[in-house]
Amino acid sequence: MPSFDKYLENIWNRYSRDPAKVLVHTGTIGWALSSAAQITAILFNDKISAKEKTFLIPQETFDAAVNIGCFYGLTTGIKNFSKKLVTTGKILPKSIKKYMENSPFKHSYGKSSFNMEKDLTPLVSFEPYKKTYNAFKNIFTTGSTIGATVLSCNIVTPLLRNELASISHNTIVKRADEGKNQVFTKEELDNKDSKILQLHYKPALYNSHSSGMKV
Amino acid sequence: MCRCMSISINKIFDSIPKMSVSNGNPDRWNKIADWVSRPAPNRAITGITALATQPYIDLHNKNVSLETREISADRTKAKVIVGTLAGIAVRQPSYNLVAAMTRPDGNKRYSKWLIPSSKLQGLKEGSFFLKTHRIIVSTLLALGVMCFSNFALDAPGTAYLTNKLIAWRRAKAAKKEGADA
Repeated sequence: MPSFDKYLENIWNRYSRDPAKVLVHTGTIGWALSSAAQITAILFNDKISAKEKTFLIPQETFDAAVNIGCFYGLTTGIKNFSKKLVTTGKILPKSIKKYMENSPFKHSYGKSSFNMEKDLTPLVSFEPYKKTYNAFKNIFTTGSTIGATVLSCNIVTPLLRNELASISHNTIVKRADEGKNQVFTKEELDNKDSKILQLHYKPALYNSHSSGMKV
Repeated sequence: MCRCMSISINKIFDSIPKMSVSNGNPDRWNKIADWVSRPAPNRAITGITALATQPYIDLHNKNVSLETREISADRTKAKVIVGTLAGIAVRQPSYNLVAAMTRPDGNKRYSKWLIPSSKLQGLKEGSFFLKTHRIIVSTLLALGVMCFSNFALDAPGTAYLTNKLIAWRRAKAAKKEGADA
């Protein structure tokens, strides 16, 4: 069995160059865990009616699924694009841009095939600009990643998860309305596996066998 | 086909005009980037922006009834507030603990516990790899803690605050109705 030191070394070797990789992996597990906890909380919250639960439960499920999808697609895409903007020299601080305009790379920088790090590292004349370049790359990609996270988690995800949850909610409500005309025995009801189904068939049962019982 | 797509994406990229930003202080840029990358400030940023956008989006979801929309927005507010506070409460101590155990120049018994021994030689405080190693290990530690805190803290806290917000909103609406009548 590998020692704890070996685990740490593995983490260092695998993720230290690209921490975003581990953030995506841990984020995925985190969202799944959080959603499981939140769904449990909704299920056992007796202050929320069954009708609202049929929206809130799919909403929470889709929240995790869409979040993970958006994070892999949108956030990673924007992060890579912003990194490419800097490494190709498409966006630079004024001092470095001035240096580039007077360098042999005047016509090639800013093109998709250009790589500031590979092409300029051997140049001694670029040495004084290295610190500014690295710091700019750091702040620009970090800022873009945070912006992309906010866009995907706080704007795109809620819009999509609401849309998907609404479809699911409206289907269940419609089915429950149709089911209101049916009368289920207690045994039939208990055989239903899904909690959501129970929540919706219960009103039909109580409507016919009891009055005003709280679900 | 893939090659053709890659060529056209490169062409689109090349057509973007070159841009420049004003010169700044590189040390300050690094400081800001390092701070916002830490797990707790990062969680705070996403939490605050979530509170500004998500309840608004929930309230404007025209596909469901007004009552469902309002309850959904209340739950989102509660989830974001509790999730952000619990997230910071878990992440910050995790980061501090990991930082205390990853000090290459520290002389306490535990200062180097979480640095792989093969990387210790020549490692300096402030190195890029050490900073990212701290973020990664503290994120993993926080995830372990969150396996429990999500169920023990977040979920019941969200349910409690959701009920409070719903009751508060209904009381406000009833008071307004009473005043109108």
